[in-house]
Amino acid sequence: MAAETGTPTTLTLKSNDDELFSVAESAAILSVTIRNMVEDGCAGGVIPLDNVDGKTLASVITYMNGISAIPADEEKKKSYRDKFLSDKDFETLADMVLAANYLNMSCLMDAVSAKIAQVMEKKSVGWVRRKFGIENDYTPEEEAAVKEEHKWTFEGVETDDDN
Amino acid sequence: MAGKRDKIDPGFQAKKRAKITYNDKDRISHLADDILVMILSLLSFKEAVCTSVLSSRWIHVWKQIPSLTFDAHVSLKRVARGFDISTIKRQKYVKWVNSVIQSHEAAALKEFRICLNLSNLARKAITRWLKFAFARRVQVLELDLSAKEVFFRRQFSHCAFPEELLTQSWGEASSSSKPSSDGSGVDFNFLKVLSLKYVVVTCEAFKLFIRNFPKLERLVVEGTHDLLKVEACGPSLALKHLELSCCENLKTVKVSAPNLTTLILAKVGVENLSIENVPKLVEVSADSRGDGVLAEKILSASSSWISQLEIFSLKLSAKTTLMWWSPYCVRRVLKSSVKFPHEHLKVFKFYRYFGRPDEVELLESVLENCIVLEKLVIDPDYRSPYFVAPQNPDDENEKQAVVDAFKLGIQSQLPQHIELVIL
Repeated sequence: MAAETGTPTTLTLKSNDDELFSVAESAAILSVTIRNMVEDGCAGGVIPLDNVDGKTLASVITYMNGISAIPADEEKKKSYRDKFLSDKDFETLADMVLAANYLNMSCLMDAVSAKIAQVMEKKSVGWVRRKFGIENDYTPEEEAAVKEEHKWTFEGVETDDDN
Repeated sequence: MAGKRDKIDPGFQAKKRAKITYNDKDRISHLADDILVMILSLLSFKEAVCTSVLSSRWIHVWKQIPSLTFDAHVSLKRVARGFDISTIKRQKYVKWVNSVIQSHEAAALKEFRICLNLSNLARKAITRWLKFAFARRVQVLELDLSAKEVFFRRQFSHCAFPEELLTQSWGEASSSSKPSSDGSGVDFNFLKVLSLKYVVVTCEAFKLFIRNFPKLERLVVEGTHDLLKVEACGPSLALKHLELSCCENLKTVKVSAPNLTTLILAKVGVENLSIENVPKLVEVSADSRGDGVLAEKILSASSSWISQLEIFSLKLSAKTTLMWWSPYCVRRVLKSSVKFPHEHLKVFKFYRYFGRPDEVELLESVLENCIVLEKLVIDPDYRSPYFVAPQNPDDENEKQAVVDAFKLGIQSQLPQHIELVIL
């Protein structure tokens, strides 16, 4: 391990579109999936990550390096995460949340989920559909029935997008 | 599709539409259920339920959310003036909770919270909800049935905690046709937090909590007249936080809990108080009713643990010109307890500080003996909370006078490393 040899161990990660990335082991093991591979001794050669494309992996590695460079200070880590996610569009966030899920990185997963939830917060159904491109496959009757089922819920929700 | 959307959302303005970027494909709906559940868990529960209208993909997602919070206080406030409408709303709310419970699908519940002023009339429904929660191994259970309006609070006959849930075997208790009794059985081993506000809790019920919830770490009981005696004693109690407030008939409190770290007593009429075997106790907070007796009782029972405290908060009784002598008694007792060094006390808050000589003496004694003190909080507001008097322009002046005197006196003696907060 890095601490024992004195030189930092580097891992090579391979995305599903065959891009190769070098990353310090100490940063990469933020991913429980990668940590398990390292602990099982499977990290000797190249670690293939079949569910993550190169663009997303590059972004995740930026995050890994950034967050692991911050000492144990939850406030600073949080502000790094906020800054890191601030300029990401939903497409990227969706890729990130899938990657974080696959790599088992709970801190990134929580942050991206919170970011997506933040977008949905206090928005009308119509707004959320448009924003995320969700196709409404209900018939008007079906939709009315769903609304009717939890009528009380819909009465209380205030949205701030349409006025 | 556009036409359909417009129908659903007629208020949408064309100028706003131009700002929104459309996505070619519906990425979010393709995310796995557990990811969507995680996202929805971060919305308010109502908003999460609303997502069921987005499309058929979303109809079941919210049903997996492990935390259910039914908070009606906000919505009901708007109609609080029309009592009838409020009653109808309340009935609707009960129906709504029932229907949510019926369709909910998560196998385990992290949190279950009900916040609404429901009377004893809703006891049957509440019993059913609790059964549902216990069948799903709930970890955090909160019932807040208080009416926010004092007017309602007086009128209500509060709902009693259904003790039978804890005494009967599950088979007998679940004779109803609820789907919650799906054979998974009830398991009280998961409950960590129990908070009951304005729910009738009897001595018997309290005993059952202590006996039946072995993992219970946090217990809060507020606003019940039927609780006369509380015993939280046992060598293996997991209890860390005990909070009893507005239980006016509570006469006896006996605590012997090896894991207890925090004890909060407020507006309780305790006559017999015993706090023993609390090696981990670090925070004690007491709010006297009007006579300061509670603070005095606490101080009298504190000799074995007061020196291990890190936070000790005593709200002394209201100061009015007629009642000045009783806080004096408390301060006298308090002074005797700060005569020896305290090696852990870091924060000292003094509520209703008035600057009289014995108060000054007490603070000097605190500064001398609390050797690791980091923070001193002074609340110089001397007005009584028990009389709603119109704002008097002299009040501010008088408060300022108290603050000025404090600055001249105590503050000049304050070591620099102690943070001072004047409220």
